[in-house]
Amino acid sequence: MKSLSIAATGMLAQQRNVEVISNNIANLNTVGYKRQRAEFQDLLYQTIERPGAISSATGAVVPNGVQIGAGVKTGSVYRITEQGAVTSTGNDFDLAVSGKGLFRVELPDGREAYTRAGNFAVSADGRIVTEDGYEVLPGITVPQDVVKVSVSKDGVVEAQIAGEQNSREIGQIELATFFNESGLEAIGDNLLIETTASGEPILGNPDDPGFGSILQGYLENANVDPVQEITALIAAQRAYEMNARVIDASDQMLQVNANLNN
Amino acid sequence: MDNAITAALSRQIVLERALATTANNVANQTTAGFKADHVSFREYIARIDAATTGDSDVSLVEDADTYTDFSAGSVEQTFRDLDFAIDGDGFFSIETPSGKAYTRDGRFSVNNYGELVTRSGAQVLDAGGAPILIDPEAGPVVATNEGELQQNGTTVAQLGVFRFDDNRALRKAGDNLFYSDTEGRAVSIPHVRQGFTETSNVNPVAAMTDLIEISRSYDEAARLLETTHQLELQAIDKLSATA
Repeated sequence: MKSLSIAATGMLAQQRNVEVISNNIANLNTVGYKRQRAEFQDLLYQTIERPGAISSATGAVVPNGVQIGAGVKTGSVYRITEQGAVTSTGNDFDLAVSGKGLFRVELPDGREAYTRAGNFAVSADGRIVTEDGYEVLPGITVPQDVVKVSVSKDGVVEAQIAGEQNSREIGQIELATFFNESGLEAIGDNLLIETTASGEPILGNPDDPGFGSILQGYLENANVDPVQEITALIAAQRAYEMNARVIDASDQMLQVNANLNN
Repeated sequence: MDNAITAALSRQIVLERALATTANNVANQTTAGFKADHVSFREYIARIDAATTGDSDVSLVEDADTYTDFSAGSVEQTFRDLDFAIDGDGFFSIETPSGKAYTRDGRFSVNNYGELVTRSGAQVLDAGGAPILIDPEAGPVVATNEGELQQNGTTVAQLGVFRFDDNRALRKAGDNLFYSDTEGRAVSIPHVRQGFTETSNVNPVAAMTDLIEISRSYDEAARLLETTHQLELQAIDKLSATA
């Protein structure tokens, strides 16, 4: 009974679908989170009679043949990188990117990670770091007795120091873009790392052609739309039930045969 | 009497295949660009030796072919620049290691060489059959309704949409792809919608009724087998009683 295993692939796919949806809903309030979407593809086909085969001695050709599919698989879980809405926070170290580009972060093991979450802070030694204390590249140190730090649209960081009339430039925020941003690998903590699928990072300053600009005092929200997720959840649940019904029907048919000789 | 058993058995075999096809449709009800399959049955007249059984031939059933319903699925808005749905007939053309393939699944992305590719990484071809290159620094891709891809107001490529005189020449190969022995003709003015994907054209309600019909028919075939079996038992009983 092939239908049993075919329906099982359908149930597995919908289970994966629900997992992805629940992760999106769980991250509804995660800064810079990009929603994901499970995408499905049909599995291999078993050709029992090939289309075009000759069916009789007179040379009649089978127009279609018998092809039976083996079910469904999860082709990819795709990250949708569309812009999330921004919320004003009033915090000087909260930065949002409007447009393309990710902040660069140095991981403790020296690798570079990328993030859209710009909820930064200052470490004990004055460096601008992420929530987890990872340094934001290329590395900006905020001097002591600073009154106000301002970040321009193009990423220039200036500090107003107590007792000084003019503010001083202390660094430049750099952004990274990728040929295939969806190819980045998520490692948790709002961080993404480069893969062969994403390609090498292209570095640039905010507001350069192809790069977004910086909004200081704002954070980018998750781009999850709760209504969309809930409707997707309902659809996934129904699809799961229908696959279960197919298993049920296959089971009943097997039972009919099992009871035949009673 | 053996003929009744073979006839019922042939019915059960095709129903099992019909169930597999329906199961595959149900499993793929959320697969973008998926086209539902159906099984068509055909009578098969088997000639048998009239001298031993009394009948000259017996009518069996076989599943002559599975055919694909190529009607369009509904379109769903995704708001992604590189999701495309074809309005009307036609397929996107894809370059795969085993030759040109065709698909209705227009969820594309750009790979690390700047080529427009499918989710499996195969190149999407333009109207002339060449890969499509996207410059990631030239801004977002805007597609016209005719499938012309533009960046910064300049045309980058024309998405290829190909049509077949007879869609039955296409055979499914998994990964949402179809292969054909003959190449499709490029549609001169295609209708493409950006930011949409075509959903599966499986009708879940019809699939559920198919499912009920299949299991009921299966029951009936089983009952026929059982009845034949009972008749045989009775015959043995009666004939042995007279002896």
